[in-house]
Amino acid sequence: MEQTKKTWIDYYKKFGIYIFLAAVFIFFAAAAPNFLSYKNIINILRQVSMFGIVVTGVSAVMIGGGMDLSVGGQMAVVGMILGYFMVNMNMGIVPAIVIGIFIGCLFGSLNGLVAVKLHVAPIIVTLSMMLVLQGVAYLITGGYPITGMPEAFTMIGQGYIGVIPVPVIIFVIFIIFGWIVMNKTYLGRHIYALGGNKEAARLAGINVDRLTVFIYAFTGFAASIAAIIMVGRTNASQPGAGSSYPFDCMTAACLGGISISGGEGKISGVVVGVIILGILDNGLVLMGVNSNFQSVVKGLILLAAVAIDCYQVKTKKS
Amino acid sequence: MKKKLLSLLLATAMTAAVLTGCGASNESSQAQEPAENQETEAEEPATEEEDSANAESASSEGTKIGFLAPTLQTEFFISIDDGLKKECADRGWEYVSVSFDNDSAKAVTNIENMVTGECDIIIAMVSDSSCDAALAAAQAEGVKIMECGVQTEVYDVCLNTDQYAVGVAIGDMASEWMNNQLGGAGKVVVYTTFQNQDMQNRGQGIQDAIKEKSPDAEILEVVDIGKDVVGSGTSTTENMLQKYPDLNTIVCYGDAAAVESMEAAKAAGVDSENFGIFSCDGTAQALEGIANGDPQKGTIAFAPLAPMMAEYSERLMAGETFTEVITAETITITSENLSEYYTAE
Amino acid sequence: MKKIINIADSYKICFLLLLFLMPAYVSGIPAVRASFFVRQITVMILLTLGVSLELIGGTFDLAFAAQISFSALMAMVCMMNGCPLWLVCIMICVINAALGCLKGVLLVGLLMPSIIFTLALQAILTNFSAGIAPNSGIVLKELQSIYRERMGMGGEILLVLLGIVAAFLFLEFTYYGKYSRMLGENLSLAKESGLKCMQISIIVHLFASLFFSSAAILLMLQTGSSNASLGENYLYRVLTAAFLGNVGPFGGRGKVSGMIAGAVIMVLLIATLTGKGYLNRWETILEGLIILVALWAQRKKK
Repeated sequence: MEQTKKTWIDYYKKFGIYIFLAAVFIFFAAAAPNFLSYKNIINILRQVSMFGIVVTGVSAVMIGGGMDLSVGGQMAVVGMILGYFMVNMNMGIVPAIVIGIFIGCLFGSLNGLVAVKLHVAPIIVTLSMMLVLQGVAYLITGGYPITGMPEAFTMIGQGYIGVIPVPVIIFVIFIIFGWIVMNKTYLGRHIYALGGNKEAARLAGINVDRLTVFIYAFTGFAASIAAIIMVGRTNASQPGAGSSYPFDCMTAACLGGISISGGEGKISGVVVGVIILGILDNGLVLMGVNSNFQSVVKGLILLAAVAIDCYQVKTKKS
Repeated sequence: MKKKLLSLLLATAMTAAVLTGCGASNESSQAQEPAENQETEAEEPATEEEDSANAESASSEGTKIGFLAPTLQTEFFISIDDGLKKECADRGWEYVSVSFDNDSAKAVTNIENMVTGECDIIIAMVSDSSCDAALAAAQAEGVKIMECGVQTEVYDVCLNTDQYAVGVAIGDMASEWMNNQLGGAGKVVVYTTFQNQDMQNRGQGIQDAIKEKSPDAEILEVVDIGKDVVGSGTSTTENMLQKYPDLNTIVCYGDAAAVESMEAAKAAGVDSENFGIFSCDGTAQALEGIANGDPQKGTIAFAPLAPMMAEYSERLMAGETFTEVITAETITITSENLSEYYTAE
Repeated sequence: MKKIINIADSYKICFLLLLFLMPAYVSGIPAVRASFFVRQITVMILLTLGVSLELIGGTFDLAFAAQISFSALMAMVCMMNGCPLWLVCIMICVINAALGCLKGVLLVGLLMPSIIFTLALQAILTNFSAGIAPNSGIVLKELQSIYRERMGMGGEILLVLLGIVAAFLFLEFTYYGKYSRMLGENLSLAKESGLKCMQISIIVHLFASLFFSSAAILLMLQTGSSNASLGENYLYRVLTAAFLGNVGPFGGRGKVSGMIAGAVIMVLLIATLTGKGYLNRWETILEGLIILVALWAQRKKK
């Protein structure tokens, strides 16, 4: 019986997410009108592209044994700063983007630095940062959105290269970059080592503090890219942007096989997790399901995914 | 143990002192009111204009206004907040604003704290009668209550708009365009929200107006767009365009969702001339869309609420009473009359 | 001098902040305003006690606000269909107890990180409530007058004193309360030492659920309404109050006196910010900063 249970968990870890992807795809193909069309697939990919970029960053943090709840706030502030420079100060697109990315990396680094220097748990640091940034986003323009971005800029969110939307291309590039870093570089191995056992990583000569700051900075970078795409897509900087991202990102990451305890998980799994959530969102809207029940479904998915992961860790230990 | 007990006792004593209060300044502030009243009474023999001016200035001096909004995260309410701030600054009044974010418990706490914060008038844009007890307690403290947007049983003056009528106005605007531009053959999706009764009434008004004025139009779906999550208008519109390829009209309960829909529709390459988006709030982005010939074809704006609120606050402080509900006007803005309300920068 | 400056001591924080906040109240408070303060402090203390007990036991709870609104909403739905008030109050207690048990089991049984599963619970409960609530909320105005007549300031003071005494006795004099600290500090060692961890966890969460139930009933009666957002804004206020009161975020540490001090400070702070017009833009920023500073100070003291 013990042997069977272990095997079941192993199969789930290896194939479960792909089976789940196939299941939701088949379900919505049958039940949701106009789901199975080329345009809709592109729709789904475009909708998950910003989200997927942030999840990649959050996954790196989770693999490293941490958690980042402040991604939504970072997106909101970076978006507002971007809009402010481009519209209110008539700055060029490229300098504004560079500043936006810099600010995003700065916020991420701040999370890491505070966690490392003040010895406060990263999840609490990012929770506090989330609250602070939510407030700061509203202070920039007193709560008003900034509209009227340069047309060239909106191409980032609304444009196409051939038949592929630009956000999807950026997402794919980001995923490839993330996969290479996590699987083919020493940096990626160090991140896995950090998440696996921090003390062992330190004893092995890894500068854990610097690495922690780096991976949070990377999440900030991911959030800033997502903010750029979001502003381009909506043609507006909104102070309330990204409010649902912390929860959604964690759901996608856990669904994609990233372990809560750290040291485990793959970027390929994360991509599948992101696509599953995108299909769920899209399919449920096409079926006319209330948006609240969509969030209930996501909450149940998060609970189930984390429960299975924790059960696996528990059985491994015993 | 002794130190802890001592510290705790000190803290409790401080709290008790704060609660019971000095009493003197409250009495002195109460003493000031009768003096002001006597001053006003003594000036009665003067001319009527002088009377009212003196009465207004005497009674409105040092006035503090508290504004309770459902949210201060959408442009509509932020513009009211900013407008009130300006009106109060012009009159030399103090001003505070808070939001309750659809949480009745927070609304009650905010009302109590505004009373504690010495507000003379509370402008309460509540959503139902859950705050009536708190508003009644505020009235018992001598605070004037101005309700706006909903009518309950506790108020000194009520500025209200029939949200169903607003919905009908939006629906009429959409129907007129469909009849003129599409020969009445509109394929419509309605975006509404079930967050509060007012918005539901508005959504119902939209649907009823379209059914009456454009009987040939088809309402394909009524979508609950949910809370104002940034990006939900964009993704919902993309999904609706996918679900209903012949969709040509979107009617929204508010500009926030409408402008996102507009961007999504443009990105999808719809024919702007034969695709119409209609909404309410009269925000700058919506008006800009109409001016640019984008899919946004019309919006319903409210007559500026902040000056109206300030005016009635003045009248309340002057002692005027109101038995009738004051109706806030709405203005239908389309490309035909856009120039009266919007100038491109 | 060093001892006075040691800001990790909650009593001194209370003393210093009360000095700072007192000017806002020097104008004097007539009876009606005292009732405002008592009402707010009652709800705040009950919630802070409940959350702090869970924190001590190792649960960082992000779902308690959603729990309150969900249970109150279910109660209102039943009342609309003719259930008497006493029965719906019991129902609120049962719902909160069941959710408390679930949290206890997930924490100890599956070793799930509490912040994650409570985040998931929060999403499920809030959105489920929003999805099923007719017209996004239910209002029964007569509850407000029932509350005024039967409860009033005296009832609130009695209730909060009862809660404080109960929490104190539970933490200091019962098996479950005393060993909940060990559970929160180091669960694996607590298991190895032979403690009945599952039992302790469930009892602690059940006890905490009583405070949440009381708060839910109070809020429901005070507003005569419930919707998916009722009490939502207490989430970060209460967490801030708990950390300000020197309750540890990951278990094992906290005293009732600190919890009360933190709750009082937050109520005064919110009232002051509202009166000065700063609440709207600065509340979340201040809460975030206070949490960070309070936890840093706790770490420093360690």
